[in-house]
Amino acid sequence: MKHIISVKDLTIKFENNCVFSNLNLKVVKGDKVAIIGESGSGKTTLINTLCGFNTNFKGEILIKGIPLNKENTAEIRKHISWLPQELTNNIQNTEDLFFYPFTFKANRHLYPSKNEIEKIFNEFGLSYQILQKKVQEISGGQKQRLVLASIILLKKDIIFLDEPTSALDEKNVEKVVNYLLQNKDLTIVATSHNKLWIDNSTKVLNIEDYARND
Amino acid sequence: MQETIDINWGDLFIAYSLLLIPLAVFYYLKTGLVKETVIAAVRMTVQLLAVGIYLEFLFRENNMWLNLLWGIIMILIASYTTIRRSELSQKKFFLPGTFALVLSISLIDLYFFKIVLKLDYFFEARYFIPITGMLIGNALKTNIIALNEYFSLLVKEKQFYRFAIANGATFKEAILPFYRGAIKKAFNPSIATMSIMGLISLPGMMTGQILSGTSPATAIKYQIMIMITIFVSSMLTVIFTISVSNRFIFDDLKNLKSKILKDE
Repeated sequence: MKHIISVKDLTIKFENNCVFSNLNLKVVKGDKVAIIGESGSGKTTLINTLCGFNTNFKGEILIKGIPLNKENTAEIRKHISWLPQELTNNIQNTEDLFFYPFTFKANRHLYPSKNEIEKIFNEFGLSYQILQKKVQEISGGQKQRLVLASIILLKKDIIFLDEPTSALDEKNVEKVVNYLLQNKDLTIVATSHNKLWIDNSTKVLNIEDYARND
Repeated sequence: MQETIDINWGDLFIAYSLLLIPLAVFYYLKTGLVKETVIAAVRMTVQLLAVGIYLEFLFRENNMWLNLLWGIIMILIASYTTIRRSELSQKKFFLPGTFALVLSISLIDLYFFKIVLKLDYFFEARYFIPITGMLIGNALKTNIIALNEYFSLLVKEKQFYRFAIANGATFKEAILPFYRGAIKKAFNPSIATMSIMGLISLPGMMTGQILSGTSPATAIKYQIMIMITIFVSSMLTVIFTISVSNRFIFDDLKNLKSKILKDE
């Protein structure tokens, strides 16, 4: 298996409205992929489809060599992690929000040590004390970095990120993007408008290249 | 046991005329409530007369099939009302909702009538009708709050559900926060009611029993039993309804289907 993700001739339609057609993408381990395109061009749709949230597609998607279909979605989800653009929820304490993915049985053995947490928090410009705060008390940018750190500590083979730096200021964007780029082991597919991410990624997929013009 | 003194129709008529006092106040204050009050009083009379007639009939016949039929109709109405008030689609939820109510009410009825009261005749109208009615009515109220909260949370926090499922959660783990939210919201009022029981007002069932000649000592035991069975049957109804509904609102990949709400 050469490619960790292989997308062949992917076409997605919503009620006769074609989002994109015959899209191809090959990703190898360690790739940092930037998915670009105007708002509404289908970036989020592509990420959602790769995570198994949209079964209504034509073409072939292989994740770690496994075809994405009804039977395999649960298996594929063991190898990925995903961060959506917004994450409305009822969790009151930042600590509970941060550790939420580690409460799942499949992830319990991955429970990060204080050391690991401090290390990544440091890279992301967060203090360890943030875990004692209420979610309400922290900013949107802090919340985004907190959840991103949590997702990365899950150490999955592929990380899908939807606009991971949308709520961050310039200084913190730089910190986060540099961390992601320097980690050779991480395979990341991220939609983004951020220039730093796009310029330094190993692959850029402009989704508008696959927009159907008929 | 002494029979409760009946109220004769003449006295009832005088009671109606007492309504002139609040009506006069409404009129004097130009509240615009006169017409509404008259309509409400008429409705009350007609509805209670109808209930009186069919209850008289049920009690006189005391027939298993008639009582069972009455229970089933109550459950169908309760199920329909729950779904309508929760803004859910009747087509998808009517059967699961009805099934859940039948299951939980039957279980609690069985316990109450067979194990606690040790009735020889399970469908004894005197016990079956008021107790089943109270269980259904209260399960209905709690179920509406719980379903409302569960489904509106799932729609509002759809991304959060997906977040869990995409990051290693099993289906059960992913829906846990939604279950928790629904149960908490639905049972807070029940807990509050239970904790102030008897302090602010005398509970209706106990009052009724005392009026009809039951000793207060027996009446409180019934009140405690009914409070507990209401609590348990409401819980079972909520759990059953949500569990059955889950089969209809998630697809094979455990993705939330669209169009679970009426207006979506």
